[in-house]
Amino acid sequence: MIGSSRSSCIALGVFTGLLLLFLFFPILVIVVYAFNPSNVQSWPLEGLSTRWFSPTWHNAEMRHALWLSVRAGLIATAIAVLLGSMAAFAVHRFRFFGREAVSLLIVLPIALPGIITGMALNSFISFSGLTFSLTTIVIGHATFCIVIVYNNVPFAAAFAAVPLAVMGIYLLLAKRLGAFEAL
Amino acid sequence: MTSSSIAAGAGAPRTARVRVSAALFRRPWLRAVLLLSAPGAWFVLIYLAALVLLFLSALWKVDPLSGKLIHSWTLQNFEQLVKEPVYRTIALRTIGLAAATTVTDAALAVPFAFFAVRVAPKRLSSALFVAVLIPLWSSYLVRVFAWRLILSDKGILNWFLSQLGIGAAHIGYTNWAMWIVFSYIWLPFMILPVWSAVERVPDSMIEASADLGARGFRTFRSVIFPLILPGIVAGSIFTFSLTLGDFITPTLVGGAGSTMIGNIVYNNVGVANNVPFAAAFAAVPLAVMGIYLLLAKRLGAFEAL
Amino acid sequence: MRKLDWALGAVLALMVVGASACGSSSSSKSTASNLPQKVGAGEGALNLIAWEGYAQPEWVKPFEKSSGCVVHAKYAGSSDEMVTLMRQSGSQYDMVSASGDASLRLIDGGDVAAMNVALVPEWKNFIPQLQSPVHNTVNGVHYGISLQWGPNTLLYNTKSVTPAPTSWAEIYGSKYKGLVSVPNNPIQIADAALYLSKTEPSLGISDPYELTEKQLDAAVELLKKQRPLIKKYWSLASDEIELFKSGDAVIGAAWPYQYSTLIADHVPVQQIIPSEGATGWADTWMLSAHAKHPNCAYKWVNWVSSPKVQAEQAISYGETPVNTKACPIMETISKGSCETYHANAPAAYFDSIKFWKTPVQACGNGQSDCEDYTTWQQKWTEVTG
Repeated sequence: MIGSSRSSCIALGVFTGLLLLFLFFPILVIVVYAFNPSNVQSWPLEGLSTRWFSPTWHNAEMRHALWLSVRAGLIATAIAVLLGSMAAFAVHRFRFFGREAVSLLIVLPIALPGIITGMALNSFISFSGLTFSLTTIVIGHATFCIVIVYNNVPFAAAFAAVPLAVMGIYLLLAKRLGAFEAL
Repeated sequence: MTSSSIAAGAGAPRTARVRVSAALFRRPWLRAVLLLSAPGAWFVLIYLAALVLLFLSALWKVDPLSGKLIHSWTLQNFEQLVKEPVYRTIALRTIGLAAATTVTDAALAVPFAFFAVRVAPKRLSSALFVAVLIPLWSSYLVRVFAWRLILSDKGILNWFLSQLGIGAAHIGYTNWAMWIVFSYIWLPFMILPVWSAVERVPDSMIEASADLGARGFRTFRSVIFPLILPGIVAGSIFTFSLTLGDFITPTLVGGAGSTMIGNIVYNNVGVANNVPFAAAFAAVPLAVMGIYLLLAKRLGAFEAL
Repeated sequence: MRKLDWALGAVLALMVVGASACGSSSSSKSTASNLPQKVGAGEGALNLIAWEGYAQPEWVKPFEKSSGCVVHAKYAGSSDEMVTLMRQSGSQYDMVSASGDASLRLIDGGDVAAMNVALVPEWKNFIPQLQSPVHNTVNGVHYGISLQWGPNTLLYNTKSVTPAPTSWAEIYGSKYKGLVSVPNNPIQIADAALYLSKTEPSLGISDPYELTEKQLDAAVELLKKQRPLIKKYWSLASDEIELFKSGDAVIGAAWPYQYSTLIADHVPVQQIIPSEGATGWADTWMLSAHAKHPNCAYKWVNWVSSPKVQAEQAISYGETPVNTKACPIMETISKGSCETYHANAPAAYFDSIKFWKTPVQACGNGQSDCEDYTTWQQKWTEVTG
């Protein structure tokens, strides 16, 4: 069996290590650059500084965007988990006419390039006279996410549990710290 | 209400609730249809309708001065696509990049999956699985931006090369940069199906192959590879389709001559306000993916998704 | 039973989503044909489409305090983008800072409304050329209030580009191959045409926006030859700023905004108007035909037309104010700025800039064989694709 010889085991192990480095290196880079004292992004950095954290947090537009992203993410996830699970259940548990076609249709948003989905929804929304808002953002994201959930329901549900858990812990801590009274 | 539940099988009052429940029990397809009604409605009313409308508009045109859509049938968008060589160049460049990314990611994913599934102990294997998914938690934009910082002229890569005494590599804002970034971004999407495929290869097959005298590489080529091919193809659907339509990476790390299909489509929708032309050009990746999905189905990728 | 509940619940959820979505659809009323006679109370918000640098906190914060109108700015990188935003989502924005190559398209498309200049007292102090210019005044009707104007300049890194350039030839020759950046904008063809009008007079180009097929092809040829020299075509001003900061570009076509920002970040750059001249832009704040906050809009226009804010914006961006009373204030903020930003320049300087305008088929010479903007857009795709 390949991989049974020590040298190929070690080779594969080294390869895996390098690949992990490849996967995480850019994320590390961003973390390091967050402490860049200057706003010219050259390397090496001239030192480390936390001067950018406060202005970033106090930037109203940034906070507004962050909150909007959180809301869009939570609502789209909820819709996607609901509809995706229903679809997965129906297709995998029952035999009915048109099952293959439905399976293909549901995979389309992920199989077709995202720009097409986005553009189609954009034209459709303009055409139907809706204004672009949180609702339309959620519609777009939910369409794509339904497919992800459909492909692997338990996996997606577990995945979705993490942000829900994070939000839950956050809200609990906020309550402890009296944030709800201050609202 | 124990009396009524016991009496249910023996002629209990046929309330509406009981009637519907019985009907559903006897007709499984009805249950399926009800389950499908909500996602089905979503897909057909929103997604499919939007797609049909979009590709219909490819046959319309836009008034140049007022920007209003003119609903008269014309083939001029497609004519322009065929007439101008630049669109062919862009389409070929995009498809080429998508293919290169797919091959690169497959080459990276297979050894990784092998190590994680067959060599690593259980604990390490689970840790590796989570490790592959963690990058997906961080924002796509942020990761692409990180590559821009790494590859730029005064960035980390050139600093590293200058430490080694080699000259600077000017790969920031080029197609090479895009190839690296695409391979990086879509790698987890390729690793996951390949991982499942490698998991499903039975040990007995490999032992049998060894018994028949095949050494490492021969076993891989003749036994393992055909078994994991559907997984690779399933992963390639993602890498191919995601690269085919992307416009953010070319904007952030591409330079002059890095325009891709996604950029033309996006510019025509968001800047030039020529949705019919954008739709016509979007028919290209649609056709390419259509053919690709058909091939993928033949190779059994849908079961491996 | 559970599955039925699920299905019903989901259908209900969909109906709720659908109903809320439908409920938020905008009913577009056409604006009244008679102009407002006075500025009423502010509506509490103002949504702008603006060039980067046009809504700086320096003058936005005091405005928000005094008027109660909270400002949300969406930044666009090109006139095309502004026109498209107005056409696709015009009801979501109140004002747009349109340049001369966008304004007529917006007027034609019915995306902007007429404005009453009597409600903007400072208008009387504007330079005469920009009180009722052809790009925002049609048949005596004002479709906006002029804002600021300026040139497209040649920007270069003083450390890496020596000797100091004097001509646009530096970005068309191979000396700085791979280190050049120019805007990703079809109107850039006019810059090439302007260059050719001086270097190849036999082509007979008099107005860089009125090009016959032959003249357009020559300009496109020049741009195609330039492409191997380009590191990246910039779409947003901040793109070019980033390129200069990281050393990926050392010379290129820019706006004074990039120069001001880079200087503030201690990057050694300089900008010039080369010997062949420059294209430029004259911007107008236009009111959306579907504006939801027209009173805040008028308050905003009054605010940015006042001499003080005109001076602040001129210095911050590096452009020229339209209000003649701004010059003395500019001198108090930054000595010599009035001269630097041509706020007191003679009319000859104004006339030397070829302001952006939308290319149309009707040429100024009475003929109609010039290429229109759609052709420019297609040619630009050929250049950059």
